[in-house]
Amino acid sequence: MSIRRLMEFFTALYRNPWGRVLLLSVYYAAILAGLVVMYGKGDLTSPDFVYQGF
Amino acid sequence: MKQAPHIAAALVAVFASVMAAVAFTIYANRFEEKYVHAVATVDHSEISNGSALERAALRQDDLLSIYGASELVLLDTKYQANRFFKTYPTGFMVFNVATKGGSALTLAQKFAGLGEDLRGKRIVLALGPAIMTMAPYGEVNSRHYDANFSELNALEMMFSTDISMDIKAHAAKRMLNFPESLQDKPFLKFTLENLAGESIINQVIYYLSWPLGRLQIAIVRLQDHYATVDFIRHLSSENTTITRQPAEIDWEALVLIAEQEQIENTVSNPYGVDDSQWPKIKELFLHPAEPGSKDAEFIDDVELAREWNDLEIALQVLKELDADVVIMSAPMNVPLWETLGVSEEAQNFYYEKLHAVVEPYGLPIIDLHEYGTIPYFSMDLASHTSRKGWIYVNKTLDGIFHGTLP
Repeated sequence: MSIRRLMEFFTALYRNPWGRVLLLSVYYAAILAGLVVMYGKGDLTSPDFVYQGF
Repeated sequence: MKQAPHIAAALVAVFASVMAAVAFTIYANRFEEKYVHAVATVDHSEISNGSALERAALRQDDLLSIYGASELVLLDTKYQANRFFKTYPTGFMVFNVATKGGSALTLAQKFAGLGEDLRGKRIVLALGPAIMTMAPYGEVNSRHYDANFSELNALEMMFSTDISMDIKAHAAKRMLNFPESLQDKPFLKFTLENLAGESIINQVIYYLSWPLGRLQIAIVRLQDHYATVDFIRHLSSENTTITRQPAEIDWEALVLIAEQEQIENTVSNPYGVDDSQWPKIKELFLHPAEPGSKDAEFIDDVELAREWNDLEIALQVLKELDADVVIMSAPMNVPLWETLGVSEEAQNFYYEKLHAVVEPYGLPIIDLHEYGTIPYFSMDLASHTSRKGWIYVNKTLDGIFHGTLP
Protein backbone atom coordinates (compact mmCIF):
# COMPACT_ATOMS: atom_id res chain seq x y z
CA MET A 1 0.00 0.00 0.00
CA SER A 2 1.47 3.33 -1.09
CA ILE A 3 1.68 6.34 1.21
CA ARG A 4 -0.96 8.10 -0.85
CA ARG A 5 -3.45 5.26 -0.45
CA LEU A 6 -2.65 5.11 3.23
CA MET A 7 -3.36 8.83 3.61
CA GLU A 8 -6.65 8.43 1.74
CA PHE A 9 -7.61 5.58 4.05
CA PHE A 10 -6.92 7.61 7.18
CA THR A 11 -8.62 10.70 5.76
CA ALA A 12 -11.73 8.67 5.01
CA LEU A 13 -11.60 7.15 8.45
CA TYR A 14 -11.21 10.58 10.05
CA ARG A 15 -14.29 11.88 8.23
CA ASN A 16 -16.37 9.14 9.81
CA PRO A 17 -17.40 10.22 13.37
CA TRP A 18 -16.63 6.80 14.86
CA GLY A 19 -13.46 6.50 12.87
CA ARG A 20 -12.34 9.87 14.20
CA VAL A 21 -12.86 8.72 17.78
CA LEU A 22 -10.93 5.54 17.00
CA LEU A 23 -7.99 7.43 15.49
CA LEU A 24 -7.90 9.96 18.29
CA SER A 25 -8.02 7.16 20.85
CA VAL A 26 -5.00 5.52 19.24
CA TYR A 27 -3.30 8.91 19.11
CA TYR A 28 -3.85 9.62 22.81
CA ALA A 29 -2.95 6.07 23.79
CA ALA A 30 0.31 6.46 21.87
CA ILE A 31 1.06 9.69 23.76
CA LEU A 32 0.41 7.92 27.09
CA ALA A 33 2.56 4.98 26.02
CA GLY A 34 5.33 7.38 25.01
CA LEU A 35 5.19 9.10 28.39
CA VAL A 36 5.36 5.73 30.15
CA VAL A 37 8.35 4.67 28.06
CA MET A 38 10.16 7.98 28.67
CA TYR A 39 9.35 8.59 32.32
CA GLY A 40 7.56 5.53 33.62
CA LYS A 41 10.40 3.24 34.56
CA GLY A 42 11.16 5.02 37.81
CA ASP A 43 14.13 4.13 39.94
CA LEU A 44 13.70 1.79 42.86
CA THR A 45 17.36 0.90 43.14
CA SER A 46 19.39 1.91 46.18
CA PRO A 47 21.90 4.70 45.62
CA ASP A 48 25.50 3.57 45.63
CA PHE A 49 27.05 3.83 49.03
CA VAL A 50 29.84 2.20 50.89
CA TYR A 51 28.77 0.67 54.15
CA GLN A 52 31.34 1.83 56.67
CA GLY A 53 30.05 0.37 59.87
CA PHE A 54 30.11 2.69 62.84
CA MET B 1 -19.40 11.05 21.50
CA LYS B 2 -19.77 12.60 18.04
CA GLN B 3 -19.96 16.09 19.56
CA ALA B 4 -16.87 15.69 21.73
CA PRO B 5 -14.56 13.26 19.93
CA HIS B 6 -11.44 14.41 21.80
CA ILE B 7 -12.96 13.85 25.24
CA ALA B 8 -14.32 10.47 24.19
CA ALA B 9 -10.99 9.44 22.70
CA ALA B 10 -9.06 10.61 25.76
CA LEU B 11 -11.38 8.60 28.01
CA VAL B 12 -10.95 5.51 25.84
CA ALA B 13 -7.15 5.93 25.88
CA VAL B 14 -7.07 6.36 29.66
CA PHE B 15 -9.37 3.36 30.14
CA ALA B 16 -7.18 1.23 27.86
CA SER B 17 -4.08 2.34 29.80
CA VAL B 18 -5.67 1.43 33.13
CA MET B 19 -6.66 -1.96 31.76
CA ALA B 20 -3.11 -2.51 30.50
CA ALA B 21 -1.77 -1.60 33.95
CA VAL B 22 -4.17 -4.04 35.63
CA ALA B 23 -3.24 -6.80 33.19
CA PHE B 24 0.47 -6.19 33.76
CA THR B 25 -0.03 -6.25 37.54
CA ILE B 26 -1.80 -9.63 37.34
CA TYR B 27 0.95 -10.99 35.10
CA ALA B 28 3.70 -9.60 37.37
CA ASN B 29 2.09 -11.04 40.51
CA ARG B 30 2.01 -14.51 38.96
CA PHE B 31 5.55 -14.17 37.64
CA GLU B 32 6.86 -13.05 41.05
CA GLU B 33 4.99 -15.85 42.79
CA LYS B 34 6.57 -18.37 40.42
CA TYR B 35 10.13 -17.17 40.97
CA VAL B 36 10.16 -15.88 44.55
CA HIS B 37 11.88 -19.08 45.79
CA ALA B 38 14.61 -18.58 43.21
CA VAL B 39 15.12 -14.94 44.17
CA ALA B 40 15.43 -15.99 47.83
CA THR B 41 18.70 -17.75 46.97
CA VAL B 42 20.40 -14.77 45.32
CA ASP B 43 21.43 -11.27 46.36
CA HIS B 44 18.35 -9.19 45.60
CA SER B 45 19.46 -5.99 47.32
CA GLU B 46 19.16 -4.32 43.91
CA ILE B 47 15.38 -4.36 44.27
CA SER B 48 15.19 -4.11 48.06
CA ASN B 49 13.55 -0.68 47.88
CA GLY B 50 10.47 -2.27 46.39
CA SER B 51 7.98 -4.54 48.10
CA ALA B 52 6.53 -6.79 45.39
CA LEU B 53 8.78 -9.73 46.16
CA GLU B 54 8.38 -9.33 49.90
CA ARG B 55 4.63 -9.63 49.45
CA ALA B 56 5.11 -12.72 47.31
CA ALA B 57 7.45 -14.22 49.94
CA LEU B 58 4.91 -13.64 52.71
CA ARG B 59 2.37 -15.70 50.77
CA GLN B 60 4.66 -18.77 50.69
CA ASP B 61 4.31 -21.34 53.46
CA ASP B 62 7.91 -22.51 53.11
CA LEU B 63 9.64 -19.13 53.21
CA LEU B 64 10.53 -17.38 56.46
CA SER B 65 11.03 -13.65 55.93
CA ILE B 66 13.78 -12.01 57.97
CA TYR B 67 13.94 -8.24 58.35
CA GLY B 68 17.03 -6.62 59.77
CA ALA B 69 20.31 -4.89 59.12
CA SER B 70 23.93 -5.60 58.36
CA GLU B 71 24.26 -8.19 61.14
CA LEU B 72 22.68 -10.60 58.66
CA VAL B 73 24.28 -9.58 55.38
CA LEU B 74 27.75 -8.17 55.92
CA LEU B 75 29.73 -11.40 55.80
CA ASP B 76 29.59 -13.15 52.47
CA THR B 77 29.65 -16.82 53.48
CA LYS B 78 28.08 -20.13 52.56
CA TYR B 79 26.68 -20.25 56.10
CA GLN B 80 24.43 -17.25 55.52
CA ALA B 81 20.86 -18.44 56.00
CA ASN B 82 19.79 -17.84 52.40
CA ARG B 83 22.58 -20.17 51.24
CA PHE B 84 22.52 -22.59 54.14
CA PHE B 85 18.83 -23.44 53.71
CA LYS B 86 18.97 -23.22 49.90
CA THR B 87 18.05 -26.90 49.46
CA TYR B 88 15.25 -26.80 52.05
CA PRO B 89 16.98 -29.41 54.28
CA THR B 90 14.39 -29.04 57.02
CA GLY B 91 11.50 -28.02 54.79
CA PHE B 92 11.91 -24.27 54.57
CA MET B 93 14.10 -21.49 53.25
CA VAL B 94 14.59 -17.92 54.44
CA PHE B 95 13.77 -14.80 52.48
CA ASN B 96 16.36 -12.36 53.74
CA VAL B 97 15.21 -8.76 53.60
CA ALA B 98 18.02 -7.43 55.79
CA THR B 99 20.12 -4.65 54.29
CA LYS B 100 23.45 -3.04 55.06
CA GLY B 101 22.86 0.11 57.08
CA GLY B 102 19.25 -0.84 57.81
CA SER B 103 17.56 0.73 60.82
CA ALA B 104 14.32 0.58 62.76
CA LEU B 105 12.88 3.65 61.02
CA THR B 106 13.47 2.10 57.60
CA LEU B 107 11.89 -1.14 58.79
CA ALA B 108 8.89 0.67 60.25
CA GLN B 109 8.18 2.09 56.79
CA LYS B 110 8.70 -1.31 55.20
CA PHE B 111 6.26 -2.99 57.61
CA ALA B 112 3.67 -0.27 57.20
CA GLY B 113 4.04 -0.56 53.44
CA LEU B 114 3.30 -4.27 53.54
CA GLY B 115 0.14 -3.52 55.53
CA GLU B 116 -2.49 -6.23 55.46
CA ASP B 117 -0.08 -8.68 53.81
CA LEU B 118 1.71 -8.94 57.17
CA ARG B 119 -1.36 -9.78 59.21
CA GLY B 120 -0.91 -13.09 60.98
CA LYS B 121 2.29 -13.88 59.08
CA ARG B 122 5.31 -15.21 60.98
CA ILE B 123 8.38 -13.09 60.36
CA VAL B 124 11.67 -12.51 62.16
CA LEU B 125 12.76 -9.01 63.09
CA ALA B 126 16.51 -9.28 63.57
CA LEU B 127 18.01 -6.51 65.63
CA GLY B 128 21.55 -5.77 66.68
CA PRO B 129 23.18 -3.61 69.33
CA ALA B 130 25.41 -1.72 66.87
CA ILE B 131 23.43 1.50 66.44
CA MET B 132 22.47 1.73 70.12
CA THR B 133 26.01 1.13 71.36
CA MET B 134 28.26 2.66 68.71
CA ALA B 135 26.56 5.28 66.54
CA PRO B 136 26.66 8.96 67.57
CA TYR B 137 23.53 9.68 69.67
CA GLY B 138 22.55 6.07 69.09
CA GLU B 139 20.98 7.15 65.84
CA VAL B 140 21.11 5.68 62.35
CA ASN B 141 23.77 7.27 60.15
CA SER B 142 21.94 9.58 57.72
CA ARG B 143 23.91 8.19 54.77
CA HIS B 144 22.79 4.70 55.70
CA TYR B 145 19.19 5.88 56.10
CA ASP B 146 19.25 7.69 52.74
CA ALA B 147 20.71 4.66 50.99
CA ASN B 148 17.94 2.43 52.32
CA PHE B 149 15.17 4.95 51.87
CA SER B 150 12.27 3.80 49.72
CA GLU B 151 9.79 6.32 48.37
CA LEU B 152 7.31 3.49 47.87
CA ASN B 153 7.46 2.36 51.49
CA ALA B 154 7.31 5.93 52.78
CA LEU B 155 4.24 6.74 50.67
CA GLU B 156 2.58 3.46 51.61
CA MET B 157 3.09 4.24 55.27
CA MET B 158 1.79 7.79 55.04
CA PHE B 159 -1.33 6.81 53.09
CA SER B 160 -1.92 3.49 54.81
CA THR B 161 -5.39 2.67 56.05
CA ASP B 162 -4.04 -0.13 58.26
CA ILE B 163 -2.15 1.94 60.83
CA SER B 164 -3.24 4.77 63.10
CA MET B 165 -2.80 8.47 62.43
CA ASP B 166 -0.80 8.78 65.65
CA ILE B 167 1.92 6.45 64.49
CA LYS B 168 1.96 8.06 61.04
CA ALA B 169 2.46 11.48 62.60
CA HIS B 170 5.17 10.16 64.91
CA ALA B 171 7.01 8.54 62.00
CA ALA B 172 6.57 11.62 59.80
CA LYS B 173 8.31 13.79 62.40
CA ARG B 174 11.27 11.43 62.49
CA MET B 175 11.45 11.10 58.70
CA LEU B 176 11.66 14.88 58.37
CA ASN B 177 14.92 14.70 60.35
CA PHE B 178 16.51 13.18 57.23
CA PRO B 179 15.96 15.93 54.62
CA GLU B 180 18.41 14.45 52.12
CA SER B 181 16.11 11.47 51.61
CA LEU B 182 13.29 13.84 50.63
CA GLN B 183 15.18 15.78 47.99
CA ASP B 184 13.39 15.57 44.63
CA LYS B 185 10.32 14.17 46.39
CA PRO B 186 8.24 17.32 46.95
CA PHE B 187 4.92 15.54 47.27
CA LEU B 188 6.22 13.15 49.91
CA LYS B 189 7.84 16.01 51.83
CA PHE B 190 4.58 17.98 51.63
CA THR B 191 2.69 14.97 52.98
CA LEU B 192 5.12 14.44 55.86
CA GLU B 193 4.94 18.11 56.83
CA ASN B 194 1.16 17.98 56.93
CA LEU B 195 1.15 14.78 58.96
CA ALA B 196 3.73 16.14 61.36
CA GLY B 197 1.86 19.45 61.66
CA GLU B 198 -0.74 19.56 64.35
CA SER B 199 -3.17 22.16 63.03
CA ILE B 200 -6.59 21.42 61.60
CA ILE B 201 -5.44 22.96 58.32
CA ASN B 202 -2.62 20.42 58.10
CA GLN B 203 -5.10 17.61 58.57
CA VAL B 204 -7.52 18.98 55.99
CA ILE B 205 -4.72 19.35 53.43
CA TYR B 206 -3.53 15.82 54.18
CA TYR B 207 -6.98 14.37 53.53
CA LEU B 208 -7.38 16.49 50.39
CA SER B 209 -4.10 15.08 49.06
CA TRP B 210 -5.20 11.50 49.77
CA PRO B 211 -6.36 10.66 46.18
CA LEU B 212 -3.08 12.02 44.80
CA GLY B 213 -1.16 9.90 47.30
CA ARG B 214 -2.97 6.71 46.36
CA LEU B 215 -2.46 7.48 42.66
CA GLN B 216 1.26 8.01 43.26
CA ILE B 217 1.43 4.69 45.14
CA ALA B 218 -0.30 2.91 42.25
CA ILE B 219 2.28 4.30 39.83
CA VAL B 220 5.29 3.43 42.01
CA ARG B 221 3.88 -0.07 42.60
CA LEU B 222 3.75 -0.58 38.84
CA GLN B 223 7.36 0.58 38.62
CA ASP B 224 8.24 -1.86 41.40
CA HIS B 225 6.60 -4.73 39.50
CA TYR B 226 8.46 -3.74 36.35
CA ALA B 227 11.83 -3.61 38.17
CA THR B 228 11.12 -6.96 39.83
CA VAL B 229 10.09 -8.74 36.64
CA ASP B 230 13.14 -7.28 34.90
CA PHE B 231 15.39 -8.47 37.74
CA ILE B 232 13.98 -12.01 37.58
CA ARG B 233 14.31 -12.14 33.79
CA HIS B 234 18.03 -11.51 34.15
CA LEU B 235 18.58 -14.44 36.51
CA SER B 236 20.43 -17.38 35.02
CA SER B 237 18.70 -20.74 34.59
CA GLU B 238 21.02 -22.10 37.30
CA ASN B 239 19.64 -19.51 39.71
CA THR B 240 16.03 -20.29 38.90
CA THR B 241 16.37 -24.01 39.51
CA ILE B 242 15.30 -24.98 43.01
CA THR B 243 16.45 -28.28 44.46
CA ARG B 244 14.80 -29.66 47.56
CA GLN B 245 16.88 -32.17 49.50
CA PRO B 246 15.62 -33.06 52.99
CA ALA B 247 18.58 -33.73 55.28
CA GLU B 248 19.49 -34.13 58.92
CA ILE B 249 21.67 -31.27 60.13
CA ASP B 250 24.49 -32.03 62.54
CA TRP B 251 24.64 -28.63 64.20
CA GLU B 252 27.50 -29.44 66.58
CA ALA B 253 29.75 -30.71 63.80
CA LEU B 254 28.97 -27.66 61.71
CA VAL B 255 29.86 -25.34 64.59
CA LEU B 256 33.32 -26.91 64.77
CA ILE B 257 33.89 -26.63 61.02
CA ALA B 258 32.67 -23.04 60.84
CA GLU B 259 34.73 -22.08 63.88
CA GLN B 260 37.87 -23.38 62.22
CA GLU B 261 37.09 -21.38 59.10
CA GLN B 262 36.48 -18.29 61.21
CA ILE B 263 39.80 -18.72 63.03
CA GLU B 264 41.54 -18.90 59.66
CA ASN B 265 40.00 -15.52 58.85
CA THR B 266 41.17 -13.73 61.99
CA VAL B 267 44.92 -13.92 61.61
CA SER B 268 45.45 -10.16 61.53
CA ASN B 269 44.73 -9.57 65.25
CA PRO B 270 44.62 -11.30 68.63
CA TYR B 271 40.99 -10.32 69.41
CA GLY B 272 39.11 -12.69 67.11
CA VAL B 273 37.99 -9.88 64.80
CA ASP B 274 37.46 -10.93 61.21
CA ASP B 275 40.29 -9.82 58.92
CA SER B 276 37.79 -7.96 56.73
CA GLN B 277 36.69 -5.79 59.66
CA TRP B 278 39.93 -5.32 61.60
CA PRO B 279 41.26 -2.35 59.57
CA LYS B 280 38.07 -0.42 60.39
CA ILE B 281 38.42 -0.75 64.16
CA LYS B 282 42.07 -1.50 64.93
CA GLU B 283 42.75 2.02 66.23
CA LEU B 284 40.27 1.43 69.06
CA PHE B 285 42.55 -1.29 70.38
CA LEU B 286 45.81 0.65 70.39
CA HIS B 287 45.29 1.49 74.06
CA PRO B 288 43.04 -1.10 75.76
CA ALA B 289 41.08 0.44 78.64
CA GLU B 290 40.95 -0.54 82.32
CA PRO B 291 38.21 -3.13 83.06
CA GLY B 292 34.93 -1.37 83.77
CA SER B 293 36.35 2.09 83.15
CA LYS B 294 33.87 2.80 80.35
CA ASP B 295 30.78 1.28 81.97
CA ALA B 296 29.04 4.51 82.86
CA GLU B 297 29.60 6.01 79.43
CA PHE B 298 28.35 2.84 77.74
CA ILE B 299 25.19 2.65 79.83
CA ASP B 300 24.51 6.32 79.21
CA ASP B 301 24.88 5.88 75.45
CA VAL B 302 22.58 2.87 75.36
CA GLU B 303 19.99 4.52 77.58
CA LEU B 304 19.78 7.64 75.42
CA ALA B 305 20.08 6.02 71.99
CA ARG B 306 17.50 7.44 69.58
CA GLU B 307 17.24 4.11 67.80
CA TRP B 308 15.03 2.84 70.66
CA ASN B 309 12.40 5.44 69.75
CA ASP B 310 12.51 4.35 66.13
CA LEU B 311 12.25 0.74 67.24
CA GLU B 312 9.09 1.64 69.14
CA ILE B 313 7.61 3.05 65.93
CA ALA B 314 8.39 -0.22 64.14
CA LEU B 315 6.95 -2.29 67.00
CA GLN B 316 3.80 -0.19 67.14
CA VAL B 317 3.30 -0.68 63.39
CA LEU B 318 3.76 -4.44 63.79
CA LYS B 319 1.31 -4.51 66.67
CA GLU B 320 -1.33 -2.57 64.74
CA LEU B 321 -0.86 -4.93 61.78
CA ASP B 322 -1.13 -7.96 64.08
CA ALA B 323 1.94 -9.62 62.56
CA ASP B 324 3.28 -12.81 64.11
CA VAL B 325 6.76 -11.44 64.84
CA VAL B 326 9.69 -12.97 66.65
CA ILE B 327 12.33 -10.46 67.73
CA MET B 328 15.83 -11.89 67.45
CA SER B 329 18.80 -9.85 68.62
CA ALA B 330 22.45 -10.35 67.83
CA PRO B 331 24.40 -10.67 71.10
CA MET B 332 27.01 -8.25 72.40
CA ASN B 333 30.56 -9.28 71.60
CA VAL B 334 31.44 -9.53 75.31
CA PRO B 335 35.21 -10.18 75.23
CA LEU B 336 35.81 -7.43 72.69
CA TRP B 337 33.84 -4.80 74.61
CA GLU B 338 35.61 -5.85 77.81
CA THR B 339 38.90 -5.06 76.10
CA LEU B 340 37.55 -1.55 75.52
CA GLY B 341 36.71 -1.14 79.21
CA VAL B 342 33.02 -2.14 79.26
CA SER B 343 32.31 -4.94 81.71
CA GLU B 344 29.90 -7.77 80.96
CA GLU B 345 27.53 -6.42 83.63
CA ALA B 346 27.40 -3.07 81.87
CA GLN B 347 26.91 -4.77 78.50
CA ASN B 348 23.90 -6.56 79.96
CA PHE B 349 22.19 -3.18 80.08
CA TYR B 350 21.64 -3.51 76.32
CA TYR B 351 19.51 -6.63 76.91
CA GLU B 352 17.65 -5.01 79.80
CA LYS B 353 16.78 -2.03 77.65
CA LEU B 354 15.82 -4.27 74.72
CA HIS B 355 13.40 -6.25 76.86
CA ALA B 356 12.03 -3.08 78.47
CA VAL B 357 11.26 -1.61 75.05
CA VAL B 358 9.87 -4.75 73.39
CA GLU B 359 7.89 -6.41 76.17
CA PRO B 360 5.05 -3.84 76.35
CA TYR B 361 4.18 -4.85 72.78
CA GLY B 362 3.79 -8.48 73.80
CA LEU B 363 6.25 -9.77 71.20
CA PRO B 364 8.54 -12.74 71.94
CA ILE B 365 12.28 -12.05 72.09
CA ILE B 366 15.23 -14.33 71.46
CA ASP B 367 18.19 -12.20 72.50
CA LEU B 368 20.93 -14.81 71.93
CA HIS B 369 22.41 -13.48 75.16
CA GLU B 370 24.05 -16.83 75.88
CA TYR B 371 26.24 -16.55 72.79
CA GLY B 372 27.82 -13.24 73.81
CA THR B 373 30.75 -14.92 75.52
CA ILE B 374 31.28 -17.65 72.93
CA PRO B 375 34.53 -16.94 71.02
CA TYR B 376 34.10 -16.12 67.33
CA PHE B 377 30.31 -15.82 67.42
CA SER B 378 30.49 -12.21 66.24
CA MET B 379 33.17 -11.08 63.84
CA ASP B 380 33.56 -7.53 65.14
CA LEU B 381 32.48 -4.94 67.69
CA ALA B 382 29.18 -4.27 65.91
CA SER B 383 28.01 -7.88 66.41
CA HIS B 384 28.09 -8.76 62.73
CA THR B 385 27.53 -12.50 62.60
CA SER B 386 30.60 -14.63 61.86
CA ARG B 387 30.75 -17.97 60.04
CA LYS B 388 30.42 -19.76 63.36
CA GLY B 389 27.73 -17.36 64.53
CA TRP B 390 25.67 -18.13 61.44
CA ILE B 391 25.41 -21.79 62.46
CA TYR B 392 23.81 -20.79 65.76
CA VAL B 393 21.61 -18.24 64.01
CA ASN B 394 20.50 -20.84 61.46
CA LYS B 395 19.67 -23.28 64.24
CA THR B 396 17.60 -20.55 65.88
CA LEU B 397 15.80 -19.74 62.61
CA ASP B 398 15.07 -23.43 62.15
CA GLY B 399 13.53 -23.51 65.60
CA ILE B 400 11.47 -20.38 64.90
CA PHE B 401 10.10 -21.76 61.63
CA HIS B 402 9.22 -25.14 63.11
CA GLY B 403 7.68 -23.57 66.19
CA THR B 404 10.12 -24.98 68.74
CA LEU B 405 11.32 -21.43 69.49
CA PRO B 406 10.72 -19.14 71.23
